[in-house]
Amino acid sequence: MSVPRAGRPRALNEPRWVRGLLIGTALAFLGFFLFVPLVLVFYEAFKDGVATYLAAIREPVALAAVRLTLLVAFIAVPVNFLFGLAAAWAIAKFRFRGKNVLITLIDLPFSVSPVISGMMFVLLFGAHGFFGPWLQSHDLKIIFAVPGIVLATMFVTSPMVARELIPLMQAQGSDEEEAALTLGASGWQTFFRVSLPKIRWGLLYGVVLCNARAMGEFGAVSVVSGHVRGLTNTMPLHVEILYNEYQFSAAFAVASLLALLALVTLAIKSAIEWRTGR
Amino acid sequence: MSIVLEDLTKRYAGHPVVNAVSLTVGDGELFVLLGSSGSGKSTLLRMIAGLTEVDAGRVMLHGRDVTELPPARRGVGFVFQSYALFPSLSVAENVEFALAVRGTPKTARRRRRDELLELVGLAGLGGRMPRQLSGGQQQRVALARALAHQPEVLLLDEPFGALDAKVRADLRRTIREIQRELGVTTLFVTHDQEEAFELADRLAVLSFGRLLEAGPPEELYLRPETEFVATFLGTANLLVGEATPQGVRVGPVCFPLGTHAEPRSADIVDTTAARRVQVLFRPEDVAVRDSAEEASFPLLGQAVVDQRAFIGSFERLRLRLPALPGVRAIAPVVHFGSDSIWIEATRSQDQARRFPLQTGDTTWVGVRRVHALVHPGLRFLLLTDGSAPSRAALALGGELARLAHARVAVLAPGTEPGEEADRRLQEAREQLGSGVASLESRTSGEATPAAVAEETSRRPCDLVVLGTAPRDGLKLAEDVISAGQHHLLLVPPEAPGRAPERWLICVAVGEPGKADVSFAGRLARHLRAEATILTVLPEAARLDDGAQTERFLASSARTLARMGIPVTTRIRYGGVRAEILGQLRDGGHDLLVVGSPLPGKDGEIELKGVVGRLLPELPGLPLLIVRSPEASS
Repeated sequence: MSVPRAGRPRALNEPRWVRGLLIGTALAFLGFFLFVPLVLVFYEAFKDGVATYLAAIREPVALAAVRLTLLVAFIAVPVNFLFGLAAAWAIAKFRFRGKNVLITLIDLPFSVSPVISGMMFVLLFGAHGFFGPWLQSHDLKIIFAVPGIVLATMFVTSPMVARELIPLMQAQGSDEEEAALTLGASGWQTFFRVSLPKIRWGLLYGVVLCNARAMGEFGAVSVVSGHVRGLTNTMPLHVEILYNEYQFSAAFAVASLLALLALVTLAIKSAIEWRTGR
Repeated sequence: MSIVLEDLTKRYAGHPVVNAVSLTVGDGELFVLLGSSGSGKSTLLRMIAGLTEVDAGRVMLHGRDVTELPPARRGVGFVFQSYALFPSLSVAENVEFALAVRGTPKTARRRRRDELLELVGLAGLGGRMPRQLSGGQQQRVALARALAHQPEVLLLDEPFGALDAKVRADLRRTIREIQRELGVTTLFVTHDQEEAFELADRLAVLSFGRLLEAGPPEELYLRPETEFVATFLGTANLLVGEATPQGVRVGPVCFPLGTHAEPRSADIVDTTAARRVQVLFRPEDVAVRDSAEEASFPLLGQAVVDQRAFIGSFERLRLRLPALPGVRAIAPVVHFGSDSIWIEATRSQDQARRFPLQTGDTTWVGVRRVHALVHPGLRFLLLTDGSAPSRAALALGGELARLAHARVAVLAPGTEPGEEADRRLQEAREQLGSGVASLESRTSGEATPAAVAEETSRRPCDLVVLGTAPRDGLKLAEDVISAGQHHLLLVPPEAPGRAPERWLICVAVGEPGKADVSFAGRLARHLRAEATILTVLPEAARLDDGAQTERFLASSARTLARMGIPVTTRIRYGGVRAEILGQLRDGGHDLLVVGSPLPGKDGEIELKGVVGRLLPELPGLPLLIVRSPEASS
């Protein structure tokens, strides 16, 4: 592992002990904060036996949480797919006033604490919020209901696809698109035959990350959900409730599902990275 | 005609990158656009393809106006420097792309694809992905792809820019062969003149968005009209000689002039400039001899061999000739302060063997033939003292020089050589920026008028650009214009740095007026400016028959129109100062041209009259004072 890179003179490589120290630190850190906790999640989940594990997952409230989580991701991910593509397209291909402002705004959901994001929606759509009276008079419920959870998730995950695509599309330029146009392709033909294939791996990568975040989001969702068991609890919220009620096995059983999702995401991500040779 | 461009113009942030280019390319012709980077040649090509929007002018392809059509409907093939192959499609799919989007049946597509791959020498490689091919092969694929839909016009944008010399040569041959075979009208953009010469049926040279000259390669090489083309194509020996009734005098020798060197139209060349003429001879026109007797051609003098280089089939010599009276060298560029003249010469290896020369040897230098340039180049002298007015003068003078392809000298008077002087010149150079055809700079310990007198007696210049301070501007302007034979441009500190576009030329009927118009025209035609010629007559003349004035204005207008300048004429009655100011207001002009008064007995020119009274009233408006030939004799 600590073999000097081939062809580099010895003088350009750090001394052996520096390399050893750096690699050791990184591995120790990863092991302590990532590997051990992951193993512990699965250990705790199966501690009371497989039957308990399956029972915890089969419980109607847990299944409802899984269903809600899937529903939220099912809505938030496609919406962000379209938004990310449109935003990246606008930023990479056009010159317009306020472009830098737009880039900063796209990053905003990352820099704001998710709890604040949740609060923001409460202030907008809550009973005493800006649109609250109007919503109440029309008998619409957003906060402490599924629409609020979807909105909050969409907000928090909105930068995922765009951030992945913007640098990629900026680096690619538009020579190929221009070539397609001179060859007689229409705008849509150019998009589907040239532009989309060029960015497909980046796009997929963004979608996978977006999905992982959508399913795992806790802070913003926690504020707007109201924690109604079986109705407005997503998987992360359900884990927290079980944990607070000292049902450790059940909590870790559901948590293990989320951890599994993370592992699958990582696997897909690595596969894409290998495919595109990053 | 396959491609007709009419006054094609593109501006970025107000600055023209393609400036009123008109061009006609015949059916089946291979036409090369040659220019250095930033000359606008790629933008021009992209406008023809529809990839860049046109600001003004028209693009006609096969008699069809396509200016407003999207690229897909123009029927062109475009080859990019970056190849721009579709990376996710195979070579075959790339070539078939144009047919696939048109819904051509599969068998026809396949047939055409195989045909094209064979044409470009890649038969059998259709299954590969683009990234599995070398750069040269990828560009061949791009070429095949661009030809698939049988375009009427093929456009190539520096297609070999990213390839090495050997591959370029191969591809050059391929392109030439394919172009001949298919007879497709082709426009080829490059910065490589060897490529241009080898490929072109005809070529055009672009510089700073303007098309300078177009013609067959040998025509442009042997008989260029402009200094830029003379020095840009190949190596040039370009000297300024004197025009005499017998021909062109260069130092001790006089060359009779052929008809091609006659100025095209006598009245567009003002007489001060016609006395100086630029003489071009190529390195292969230079002959070296060991004695003066046996030469059968005019001898320039005895020169010392400064450098000798072996360049394959030829030997290249750089010769140093002592100063010749009345001769100034433009190319090769002479070191500042040196008064000797460099001559570039080449001879065959056979000649080199028969009369070997070593560095330091002395030899007689003769010239077999010369070519006199039709357009005498302009030379500007920009004055700088670091003040706000002189910064404005540098900005405007630099912009005018860039557009008019004038050579520029920057002079910082009243500065002893030293760090301070260097800093000021450096600052001026930075302010001028890039794009000036030739730039030299120097300081002088003398005060401004004396420094100008010294500089212009050494090297005459056409125009001095001076920043005017609001207060003591007039006296300085008088001294500077009296210091030589030049015209004077006064630039107030508020003047914008962009080139003026609406000129007001104020003339009085008579010979000096003609000079005002023709010099203003020589400058304005480079700037795409439009001009209004104004004559102010006294109120009492309103009742007279104005036929003479009108004839004069009409002939002035014709002179400008022949140079391609949109022109209108006006006669106003009343006081000169009031009427000029009135016209400036009404016409929204951004530059005023007036004639200079005749010099007094002592050679001093007084500007107190019209100029003196106008100057305080012209905030932000540059003022060009033109000297008539009488004033300079």
